[in-house]
Amino acid sequence: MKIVFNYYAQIRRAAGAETECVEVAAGATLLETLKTMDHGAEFAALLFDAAGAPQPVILYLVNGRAATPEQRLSDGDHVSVFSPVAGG
Amino acid sequence: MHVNPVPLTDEERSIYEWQIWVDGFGEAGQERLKGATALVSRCGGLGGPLCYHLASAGIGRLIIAHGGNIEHSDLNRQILMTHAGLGRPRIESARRRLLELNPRMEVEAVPENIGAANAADLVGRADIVFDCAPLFAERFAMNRACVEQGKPMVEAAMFSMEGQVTVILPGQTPCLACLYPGDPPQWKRRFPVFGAVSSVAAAIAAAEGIKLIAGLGRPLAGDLLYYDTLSMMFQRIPVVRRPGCPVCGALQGAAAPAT
Repeated sequence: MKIVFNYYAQIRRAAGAETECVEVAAGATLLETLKTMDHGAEFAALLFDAAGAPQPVILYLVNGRAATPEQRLSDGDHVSVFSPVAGG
Repeated sequence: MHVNPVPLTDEERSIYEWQIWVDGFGEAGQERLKGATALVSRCGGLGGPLCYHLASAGIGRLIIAHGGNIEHSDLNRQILMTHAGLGRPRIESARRRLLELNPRMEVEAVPENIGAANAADLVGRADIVFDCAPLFAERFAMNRACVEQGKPMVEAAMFSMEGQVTVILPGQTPCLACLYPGDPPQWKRRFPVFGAVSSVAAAIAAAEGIKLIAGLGRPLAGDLLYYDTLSMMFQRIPVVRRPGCPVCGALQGAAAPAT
């Protein structure tokens, strides 16, 4: 199935792209899909801790609604990935 | 939120005439702004223009907390600072510039950043809190104090050409710990940003504060407003409370207004 990822803030910088389309096996979860991506160490560190578990501070949306990494995806889903940002 | 309205003078009616004309605001809304006290964390690229908009709108009292002195790298976005003030406390410049615009406003300038040691006291003296801090420890300290005291908090942030604003109503909406249940390990104190981009978040946050104080419109309660100035795309994203949140999980409040 094809999943569209939209990246924001630091995730966008680390991915080197605002958006990309990813192909994964039917029934894959968001976490399983993220683990197939290879955008380098900075991207991985934003999404996963040292043990490989998803960082709880990342905000995921699937088709505009809040989602967890364990959510199963469907063909054509749009996933938004936000890393935390602060102010000044 | 509870605010004690304060009657306007004739001069204030003249100054705020154009916003008094806003439907649903009127003199009653202006009196509520005059009676309100806002706490703003930091007066830099985000907090600075936010304070300026609250001052121009006629808020009665501002408590601003920001430590440190003006540095060269502040001047691309911290519009309350001046070149002549380099090396001097930021809070002094902020106070002076705000009072030049609105000398009727009370300004309590706190020359230190907000943290676990002072958050409860500072939040306790405000009707509404604006979180513009660059460090999550500060943001979490204010969040906890606002949740414990039931104070609304307008949460604003930016990075590069993007920004976001949400309104936290304890017990009704997600609190900051619902959104970020831990200290983000990758967030850096120094980050890319334009002043124009942080000023967008600041103006939106100020408008949200005015709406909350005056009872206008539909606040961003339970929604995260995200914007990307590269594409000029704005999104309103529903966000939900985290079950078992260690900060707000025990609060049972009315649901946030439906979006």
